[in-house]
Formats: sequence, C-alpha cells, structure tokens
Amino acid sequence: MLYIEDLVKRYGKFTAVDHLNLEIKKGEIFGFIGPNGAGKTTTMRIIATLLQPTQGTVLVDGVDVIKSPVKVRGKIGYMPDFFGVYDNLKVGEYLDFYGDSYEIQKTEREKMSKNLLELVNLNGLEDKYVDTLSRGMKQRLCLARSLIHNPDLLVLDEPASGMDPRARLEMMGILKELKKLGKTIIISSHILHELTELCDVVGVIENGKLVAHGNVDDIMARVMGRKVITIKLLNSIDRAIKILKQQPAVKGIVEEGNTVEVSYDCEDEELWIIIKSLVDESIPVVSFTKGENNLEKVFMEVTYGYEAK
Amino acid sequence: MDMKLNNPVLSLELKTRMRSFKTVLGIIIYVGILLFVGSMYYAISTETYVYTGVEAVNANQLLGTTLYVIIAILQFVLIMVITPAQTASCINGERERQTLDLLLCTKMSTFDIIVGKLLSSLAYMLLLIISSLPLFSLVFLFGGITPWDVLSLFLFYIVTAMVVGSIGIFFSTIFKRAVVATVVSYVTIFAWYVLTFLIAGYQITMQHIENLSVQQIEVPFILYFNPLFGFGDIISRHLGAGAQNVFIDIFSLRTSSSASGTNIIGTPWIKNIILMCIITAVILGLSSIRLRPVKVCKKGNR
Ligand SMILES: Nc1ncnc2c1ncn2[C@@H]1O[C@H](COP(=O)(O)OP(=O)(O)OP(=O)(O)O)[C@@H](O)[C@H]1O
Ligand SMILES: [Mg+2]
Repeated sequence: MLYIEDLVKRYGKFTAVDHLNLEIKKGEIFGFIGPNGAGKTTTMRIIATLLQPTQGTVLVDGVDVIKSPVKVRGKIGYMPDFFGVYDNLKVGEYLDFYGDSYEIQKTEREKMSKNLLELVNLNGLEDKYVDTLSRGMKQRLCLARSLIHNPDLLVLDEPASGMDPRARLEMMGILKELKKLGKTIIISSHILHELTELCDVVGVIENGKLVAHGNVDDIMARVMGRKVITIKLLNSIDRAIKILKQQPAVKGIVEEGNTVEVSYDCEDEELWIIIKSLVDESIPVVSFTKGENNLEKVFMEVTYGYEAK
Repeated sequence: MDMKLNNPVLSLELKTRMRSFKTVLGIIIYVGILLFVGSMYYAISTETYVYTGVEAVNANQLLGTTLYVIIAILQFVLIMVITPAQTASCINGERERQTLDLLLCTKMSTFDIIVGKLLSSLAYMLLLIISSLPLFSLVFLFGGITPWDVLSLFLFYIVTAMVVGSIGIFFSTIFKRAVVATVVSYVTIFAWYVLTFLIAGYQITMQHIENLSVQQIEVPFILYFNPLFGFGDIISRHLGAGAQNVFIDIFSLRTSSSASGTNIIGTPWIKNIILMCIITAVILGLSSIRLRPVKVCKKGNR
C-alpha cells in the first residue's frame, strides 16, 4: 500500500529525513514513533504530496507521489498535526466543502458526512459552528474530514495530541473501528503505549533515520525485557552518569532533573554493585528504587540505545 | 464536455463572508465615504452656483456630471486600494489559519483554489459597487449620464479589481505576512502605473524630436497597459462627444481611426480591458505554479 525507498529530505544543510526505507502492507496499522524533531511530520507531509522530497521514491498503492500527486491525493486521507478551521462555518458545511473539493457528488457526500459524524461521535452537531467546537471535537471532525472521500490509506499525524486521557481513549476507539473497516493507517506519536494496542507494526524514527522497525510484540518484548532502577541524587548528576556508563551491567540511562533512570541487565542480587560504584565515588545518592517498566521511558531508551552505538 | 463550473473555494468563501460582520461593516463604510464626499461636493457647489449665477438647467447638468466624475474617480481609487488588501491575505491567511495543507491535499488544483479566492474577492467588490448604485441614480436625476455609461464603468471597475486583485494574490503566495504582501502589492501597482506613463512619455518625446513637424502622435502601445488610461478614456466618453480622453489631451496624442468609435476593439478602454484580462491570466498562472507543493521533476533532474 505504501512503499518508501531511500527517502531524503534536506532543509539547506540540515537533513530532516535520512535515507528512510519503509513498506506498509494493505490493512496494516503502522505506528510511527519518534521524539520531537525526529522527522515524522516531514515524512508524512511528503506522503501527503505536500512537500517535495530531496531524493527517493514514495509510492502509494503503486502511484508515485511526485509524478501523479493528484491521483495520490484521492487515495489518501491526511490529518496534519496542527490544523485550523474556518470561522462562520457549520460542521455539516465543513464536511460538505471538503467533500466537494474531492469531487464527490452532493448526494453521496451528504450520505458520507452523516455516516462519518456518527463514526466520530459527533452526530447531531451538523449545525454547530466549527470554531466553537472543543479541541477534541475538532480533531475528531478533522479525522472525519480526512475520510470523506473514502481513502484507502490514512496518514494521521499525532491525531490524539493535546487531548485529555478520556478523549485519547475515544480517538483510539474510533481508530480501532477504522481498522475493522480494513483501512491502512500510518499514525505518528511520540508516546509508545498509545500505539501498542492499535498498531501491528511500529517504526522508531530518530534524527530522520528509522532506528527500529518491526512487529509491535517483538519490539515490546525487546524493551520490556529490560529492568529499570531509579536513582535520585542530591547533585553531581553528570559525574554519576559517567560512572554508571562504565558499569558493564548498565544498558541505558535516561536523565531527568535530579533523577536518573538506569536500565540494567543483571540479576537483582548484583544490583548493589551499581550503587556501590556511586557511593565509592562519594556521589550523594538520596534514594534508590527498583522501577516499574514505564513505557514512556522505554521509548526514550530505544533511542538512547541507538545513540550509544 | 464535462466543464466544471463549480468552485468549492468560491462557495465556501461566499458562505463565510456573508456571515461575517466585517462584510456588512465594509459596505457601510464604503457607501459612507462615497456619500460623504458626494454630499460635501453638492453642498459646496450649489452655494457657488448661487453666487456665480449659472443658469439653472445648465447648473444642474454641470452639477450632475461633475458629481459623476468625482464619485467615479473616488470609487476607482477605493477599488484599487481595497481589492489588493483583500486578496493579499488570502493564501498566507490560509497558511496562518493552518488550513492551507488541508486545501492543498484535496483534489482541487492550485489554480482552482486561486481562482476561487479571486472570484470571491471580486464578488465582494461587486457587492460594494452595486451598493453605490443609489448614488449613481442620483446622478441620473441631474441628467447627462446614461445607465449604459454606468454599466460600462462598472465593467471597467470589475476588470480593474480583477487585475489588481490577482497581483495581491500573487504576493500572498510569496509573503508569509499579509501586511508585507499588501504593501508590496501597492508598491507594485503604483510602479506599474508610473512606469507605463514614464515610458509612454519618453516614447512621445522621442517621436517629437525625430519629427518636429508632426502635431499629433499615435498613442504608444504601452499606455494601453495602464488602467488609468482606460479609465480616463471611459470617463471622457461619458462626459459627451466633445470630451477627449484627458490623457490624450495631456500628451496631445492622436488615437487611431477607432477614436470615432467605429471599431469597438480599437477603443482605448476596451483595448485596456483586453490587456488587463491577459495580465490577470498570466499572474494567476504564475501564482498557481508557486502554490503547487510538489513540482513534477523533469527526467534526469536528480
Ligand atoms: N521548513 C523547515 N525548514 C527547516 N527545517 C525544518 C522545516 N520543517 C521542519 N524542519 C526541521 O526538520 C526536523 C524534523 O521535523 P518534523 O516536524 O518532521 O519532526 P517531528 O518528528 O514531526 O517532530 P514533532 O514530534 O515535534 O512533531 C526538525 O528538526 C525541524 O526543525
Ligand atoms: Mg510532527
């Protein structure tokens, strides 16, 4: 459904997407994970024919995004990370306008927008002004908008960003509905656990490179296998990190204010060696806790592992 | 033939504009300015005529035609000021509102989007122009001006609005900020007017130097690119058979045989309109190429 080969995007000297290769099969839900500035939006805008790649090939259902952008536009539904709405426009008219711009017949788009509003739980709001909707509602409306021409591939750039947990859950529920309908979806996020339930495959992007790519379960197993301790310090964080890095059992370090999260690979009985190394160097350790496996941190770690290489 | 007349952007803009308070306010201010200037002139001139003792019938006619000229010029200036300001924010406004990507990823071509934007601005200008109609009907009362005159004047207005509006659109695809785009549009329009006059003036002077015996010289073609020239022509015509195009008077020029009106295409203001339509088409084409996010790359251009 989507085929990306050797994709490069440069802004001047800066490389935002660096020789990216990716293939997504029909009906697959692909989670695109990466920290801020990793190149997720850039990649997705290229897929959505909104940005000219510097180099490389992107095919949507076999159609080249550069050679026939208009044909591609009919095949994909794109939801940007940030978007606005028009003033003085009603929800029904909003969907009608975009349906019209996708050259859908009046009767067809009326039927479609009714179904879509039901799908995104906005039914009955046709006559409400778009700019008076809450943020979560606008996001769901934008999702409905991206579906108005019944595209095969959905390109969703952080569709749940800025939503409260309940709204996120609702959004994920809607996406699961879409999965059942057989849509191919590429969805970006910087939160891993948001995607694990939904996605079949995830790819982790960092500095424009795909650093991990595979089945959700595999990647989860890889990161879940790690054990974590949280060490709280009074000061000397930098010195502590230097010491920790020299420990053979330490696999990853995530720094956060006065605490460091250390993932390790050894028996629990040998943990004391790590703390001893700190105390021996008179690092003021305040607390030392065996941590829960926090998924948000796991994501950071995947990227840390890459940096260390 | 499946000619597509439907423009989604146009219908959207019409819908949202008509609901906006700004539209109503704009009309009120526009008519207000025309009314104010018109009544000021009326008040001053009636007083003057009383003192100078111009004969009543002639006075009325003179009053009517002068009022017509004043309102026509004022409206021409207003249109040239308002239209670029309107269109100079249309594309960068979408960008600022973060709706541009949503537009560009639809099946509409960038040309459709740009034409929709221009037409909606023109529709608004037409609304302003029509709302000035009661004032013109006042001019009819005094006599001297026919409804046909006013109709051709309005046609000329719309074409002028179209060309200056497309300049605004072009700069709105270039500059991120509406203020910058507006100012650059004004400067461009001003430079266009001044330059065509200067070049024409130069050509006329050269012809005079080359051939001193000739009393009158053909209108330099470049003048037909200037809407002010066409406007001068149309107003002079409306003032009656005796009146020459002011610019032709100033430069002491001779219009080709068409001046008598036998050949409609040759009439200066019609020529002017045709050229403005061509300029508009070129600018719109350039704007839509600029707005296109993905350029189809040529073979071997890697
Ligand atoms: N128009 C531009 N000019 C220059 N640099 C840009 C431009 N757009 C993006 N970048 C840079 O490209 C990099 C990738 O940006 P991108 O928006 O793709 O990241 P992202 O993964 O979507 O991040 P986020 O999670 O913040 O949305 C960033 O470092 C950004 O500064
Ligand atoms: Mg992004």
